[in-house]
Amino acid sequence: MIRVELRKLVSRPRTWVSIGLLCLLPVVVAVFLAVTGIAPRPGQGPTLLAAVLGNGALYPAAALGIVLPFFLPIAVAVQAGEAVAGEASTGTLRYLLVRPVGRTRLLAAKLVSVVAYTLLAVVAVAVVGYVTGISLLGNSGQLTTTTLSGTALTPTDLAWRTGVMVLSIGWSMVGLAAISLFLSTLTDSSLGAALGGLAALVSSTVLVTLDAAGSVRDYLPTRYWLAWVDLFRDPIPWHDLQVGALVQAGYVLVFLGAAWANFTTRDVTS
Amino acid sequence: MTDPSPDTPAVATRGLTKRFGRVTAVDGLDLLVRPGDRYGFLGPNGSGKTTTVRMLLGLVHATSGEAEVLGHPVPRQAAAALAQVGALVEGPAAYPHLSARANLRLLDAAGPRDVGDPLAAEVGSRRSRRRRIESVLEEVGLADVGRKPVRAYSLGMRQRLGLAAALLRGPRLLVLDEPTNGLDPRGIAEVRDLLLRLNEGGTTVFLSSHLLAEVELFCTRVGVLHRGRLVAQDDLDALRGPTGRTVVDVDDVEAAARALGVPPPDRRRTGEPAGRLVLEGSSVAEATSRLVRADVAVLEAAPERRTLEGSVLELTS
Amino acid sequence: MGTVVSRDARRRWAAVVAATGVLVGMLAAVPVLRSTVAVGAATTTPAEVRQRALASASVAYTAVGESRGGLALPDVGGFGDLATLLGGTTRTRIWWDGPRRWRVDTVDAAGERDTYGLATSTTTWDYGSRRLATVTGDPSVRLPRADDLVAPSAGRRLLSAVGPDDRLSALPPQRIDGRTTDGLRVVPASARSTLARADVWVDRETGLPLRVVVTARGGADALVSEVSGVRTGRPPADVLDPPSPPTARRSLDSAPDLVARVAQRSPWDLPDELAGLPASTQVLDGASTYGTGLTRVLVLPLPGRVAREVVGNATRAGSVEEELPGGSVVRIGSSLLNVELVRGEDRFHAYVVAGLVEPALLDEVATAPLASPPPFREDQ
Repeated sequence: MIRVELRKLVSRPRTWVSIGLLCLLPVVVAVFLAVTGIAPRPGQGPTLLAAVLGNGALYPAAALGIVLPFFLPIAVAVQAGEAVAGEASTGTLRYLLVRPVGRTRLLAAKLVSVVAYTLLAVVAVAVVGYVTGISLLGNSGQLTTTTLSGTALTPTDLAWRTGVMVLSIGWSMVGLAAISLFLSTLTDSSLGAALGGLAALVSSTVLVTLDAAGSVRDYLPTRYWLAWVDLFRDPIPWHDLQVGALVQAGYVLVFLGAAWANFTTRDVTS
Repeated sequence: MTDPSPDTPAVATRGLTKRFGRVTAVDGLDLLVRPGDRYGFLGPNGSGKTTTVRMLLGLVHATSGEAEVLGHPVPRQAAAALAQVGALVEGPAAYPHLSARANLRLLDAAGPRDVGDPLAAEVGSRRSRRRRIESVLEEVGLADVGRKPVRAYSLGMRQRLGLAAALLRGPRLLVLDEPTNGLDPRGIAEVRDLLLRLNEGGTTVFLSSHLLAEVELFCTRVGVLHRGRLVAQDDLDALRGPTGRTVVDVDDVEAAARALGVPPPDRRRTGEPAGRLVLEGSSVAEATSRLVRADVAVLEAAPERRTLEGSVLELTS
Repeated sequence: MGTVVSRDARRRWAAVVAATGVLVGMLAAVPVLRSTVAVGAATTTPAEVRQRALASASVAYTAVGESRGGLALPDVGGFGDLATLLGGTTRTRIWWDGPRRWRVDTVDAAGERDTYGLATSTTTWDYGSRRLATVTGDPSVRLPRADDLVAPSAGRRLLSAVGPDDRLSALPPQRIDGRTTDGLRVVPASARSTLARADVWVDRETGLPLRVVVTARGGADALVSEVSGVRTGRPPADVLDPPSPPTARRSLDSAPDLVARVAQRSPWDLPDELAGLPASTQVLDGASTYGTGLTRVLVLPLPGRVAREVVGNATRAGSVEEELPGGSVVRIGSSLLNVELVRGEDRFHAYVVAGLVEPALLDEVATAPLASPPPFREDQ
């Protein structure tokens, strides 16, 4: 079943169109930066963007910083919201279940497919970011990059830190995907599920900045979304990354559990 | 898992009931479909047919009552039952951007690889997938559709694809909900022939439809659903049995009535064609011999039979 | 009438709700359990606790810090990021090997500013401006930096300023960051101080002040600074060495900011007493503090040109220049810290007067040097 879901994922034009669009924005930004040579003022604009001029190897991280607040969550929420509700609205859900495919198995396969999509999207942005960064923004003649703390990063350092960043961002997206997947089992409308997931995201983003919500802030899903920036400090403060991963794990567990309880016992009337 | 004995009912339900909130969609259904039946599940739209079908397939969970499909309780052992069931529920559905073959490949691969007995495992093996898909496409008349995506299919072609999907794994029971929807008359005849052929090969067919004519032409056994209740379940011949009356067509009704000793029919009241007499309590042989003796020309004489339509209207009024 | 499935549904939902409950319960229980860990009663006097805190400068530790300021100061050009430092939240990472070898990073989502303290200099790496600035020596007067607000440093500074008249009392011990701390409360003696009280919680084991809460007379917490994740022990040496990024702009200076620069070059010899307040014993360059204990006023003479510029910046930021006997004044105030820019009628003598005291006291302090300008320093 997992193989079937993955084949469905790659055979669908929409998958590639959405990932393509996701990669387009960083490329456009890189082109503008390269042509004008005007970097955003430090402290303004997306994270790390100020540092990429003449330092193209850092662009994968900056590219993810560009798509992280908005585009990436939208793509993931739409994909996860579609997972069950999309099958329901095309009517293929009933044929899969009658095939028969166990409901738990179907849900697990859908989850794997959504996670695969998320990783694919994050890795695609990172790879496109690297290629455009190196070719458009240059490498400033040396092979080292500097961290936020001013220390030098060897290419190996940069590679593994970027790798961990990809995993960390991917994992935070899985938390959002779990929420959307749960909503997707509640409704037959993919759009509704995707918007529901995004509504949760926006609420969390608003509450994180609100001092009055300080007591729950550390448990909000987006609280540690920017923790990956810590990977480019020296020494790396792992605390936020670890806590962020745990918080996401909590959301994944609870919402997947709810999705499972709901989907395995509900009436399929679509 | 043991193979069910040959006379295990294909479908058996006891007091099957489904309520959606306060609305009772299906109320205390006792269905019995014997193996080898061509069962017509008849009822107007909204009578609860689709809900019943969905309960049999484990899609909708019953509020109370029990259902067994091929000897397996549903939904508890739905997987074991459904592995030997092909179904078409409320219209076909497929991924619109893929071709018929790609759709069938995905659906085939999605199912369980091994359902216990070696025969089913052979049927489900990956190696024979291509052959199986070609053979069902051939059977439903979609062999030469090529790589066109389902998006571009006509309603009839989609219906055929839905049938192909139901037949994919050589099911022992076919559950078909309005299978001839969107087909032209020739297509309908082809599908009927296909189902008859499969039935002769031992496949039980459960056909749910609101079309009396379709059921009457195809089925051997009929269940009639009305407002969620099963109002009749019997062999088709029993529902169409003789009424005990005799119909004679003659050229002179007045003379015939006199010869048989019955009052001449009031045509405005009965609506019968001119020259027809309906006789109570007398056989064809008796009536014809008396008419011949009275020198009345008999055009046709036969025992009166109920039509399925008549029975159904009678049951549901 | 329950069926198999609805029973099943109930069971599954129950499992999910129970798991969620356990998770949330665990999260809620941890702080409760932590706070119920028995806190041993204090066995030391407040004075002893203060001594232990003051002696903790040599305790090596690593921690993360957070300070939240509630002071609404206008952002006046020339005063650096004083307004954000005292009016916002600052997150820091601290590696402390002693007062002559430490590093404090100020971090936010967009970058960081790291200060490396060495025996004879401090070096600051600012990621945003890609600047590596080294300041030699330790100027006696300068603007506060983020590392000044780190709880152990701020706590020590506060406790060292406590005078014999200020009241020092004990607060019930508390658990902070899993450690037992003894609380100290400092209340200034003078009624003219804007400081209502300052509470410092000192780690019983190491003497490190872990939390500082400064409350203004208005009642609100003006400044809260604390450290968490404290690990004692020497930080790795390579962490404490300033980086040397190839593309950074470097600068070498003996004054880190405008205030320090002005103080170093000030040509005036300030009197030993102003408005009845004696000069503090500390030797400052061209500036002096007056008063005792926690009630102190800083007086910094400004060159006329600089004064013009700063007053211009302040009025642009919304402050108003008012009349004062012998000159004019711009008051930049908050509930706790008050700053006055004073200029004489000749526009030649000008001062910054600042302190945690009420503006009226600053006015009194400011009018004295306006009435009788100080002589030039003899060493100039």
